[in-house]
Amino acid sequence: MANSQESGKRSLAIIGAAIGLAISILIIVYSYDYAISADPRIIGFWFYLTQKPYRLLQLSVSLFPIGIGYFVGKEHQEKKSLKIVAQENRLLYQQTLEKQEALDQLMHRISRAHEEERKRISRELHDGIAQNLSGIILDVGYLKAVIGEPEAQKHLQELTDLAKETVIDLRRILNDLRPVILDSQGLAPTLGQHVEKFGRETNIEIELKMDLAQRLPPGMEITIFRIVQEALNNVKKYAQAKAVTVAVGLDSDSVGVTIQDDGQGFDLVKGLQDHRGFGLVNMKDRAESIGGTIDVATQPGAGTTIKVTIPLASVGEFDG
Amino acid sequence: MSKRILLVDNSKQFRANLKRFLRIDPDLEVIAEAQGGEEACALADEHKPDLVLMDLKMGAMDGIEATRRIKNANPQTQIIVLTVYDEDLYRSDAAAAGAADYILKEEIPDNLLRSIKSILSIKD
Ligand SMILES: Nc1ncnc2c1ncn2[C@@H]1O[C@H](COP(=O)(O)OP(=O)(O)OP(=O)(O)O)[C@@H](O)[C@H]1O
Ligand SMILES: [Mg+2]
Repeated sequence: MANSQESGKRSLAIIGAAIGLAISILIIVYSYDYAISADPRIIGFWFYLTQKPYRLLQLSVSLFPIGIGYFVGKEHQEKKSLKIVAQENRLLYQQTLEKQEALDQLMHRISRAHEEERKRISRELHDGIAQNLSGIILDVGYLKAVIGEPEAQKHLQELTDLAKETVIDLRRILNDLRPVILDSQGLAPTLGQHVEKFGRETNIEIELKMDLAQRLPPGMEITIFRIVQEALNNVKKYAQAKAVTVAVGLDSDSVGVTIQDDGQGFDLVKGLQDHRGFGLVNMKDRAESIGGTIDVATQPGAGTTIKVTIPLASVGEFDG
Repeated sequence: MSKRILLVDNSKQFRANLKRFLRIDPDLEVIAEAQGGEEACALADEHKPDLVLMDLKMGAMDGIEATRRIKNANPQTQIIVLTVYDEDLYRSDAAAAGAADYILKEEIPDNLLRSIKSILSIKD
């Protein structure tokens, strides 16, 4: 590509020079012709120039079109190749935009698939494994009741304890995977539970303002929950805040979620760049994956406010 | 006189385990089993059991709703919720719907028989 352009550049210049040469020849031929046939007063000057000492000058004037031809050709070629470069740049830019868009779409699909996968795993753990473990505990309980032998009793009790511990571990995993009450009870009680736990585990005063009478589409509920969870995680880890407010409110056509802390804030650009964390990026992906936007307002010393806006009509096929 | 019990759980396996466990107390008799809320309501109406052991499985009709309906139609029937969900919200919902107790499934061997005795003997 670059090579053909280079040789193309030279070829136009050479064509220009060739045209110039032709013009030069015409000038020389005609000037002599003219000198012989035309009005001596007009051609006097030219004739004067054809005298020996000025031959060189005359020749160079005659050859001048060659130079002009060459440069005009070159200039033209350069303009043309600049145009090509601009065109290519435009194309590349377009392609980059398209790639970026495809990448964004992919990220959104991944973030939704991730959530759907969690839901599926949690259902299987609950319906299958937790249920079976409970059955085992019941059967061991029955055996304990009907077998009198002390040695057997002891082992059966150990078995029961182990199975119980496993159920409790499983319950913790289930809740980490997905808050159990989200689907049945909705966003408000789930956030209430989360906020209450946050208040218990930290020394930060937390307030939840839910201005939301209705249930939201499932994909929206889990997305909002995850964003709040992620934001509060950061508040706990970095903000050194005294107080944080979580607000969820409904407009005519969108849901607004705000998480505001009065902590030390941070340099947003640096926070995104030199820390290899996924929290902020994830929040953005999640918000965008259901057509929403996120705005992070913060600076060192001035607290942090994260505001997410999600159009009500945007969740599509994602059922969280 | 033996107490008549209706089991409600979507897992056949778990119902079998529970049934075997209840054999420990000869005063308890399982008279019917239901897989879900609708069926539980119908069987409760039909058999008027002393006790329903109710799972909270969140299906078409969940255990809380079934509890409310059974209590409305048969106030004398006692209901104990048996579940894997250790959630305060479910506990209070179950109580509000009329359940007499809420027992985690892994705690059944420790608590269920005692709970049944106290709930049903209060009634006697
Ligand atoms: N509320 C906040 N107050 C102060 N600093 C914050 C706050 N939220 C984020 N930060 C800063 O921004 C950085 C990036 O946060 P992000 O959540 O993206 O990553 P992380 O928390 O470090 O890692 P991860 O979330 O993946 O565990 C943090 O390291 C922290 O310095
Ligand atoms: Mg983080």
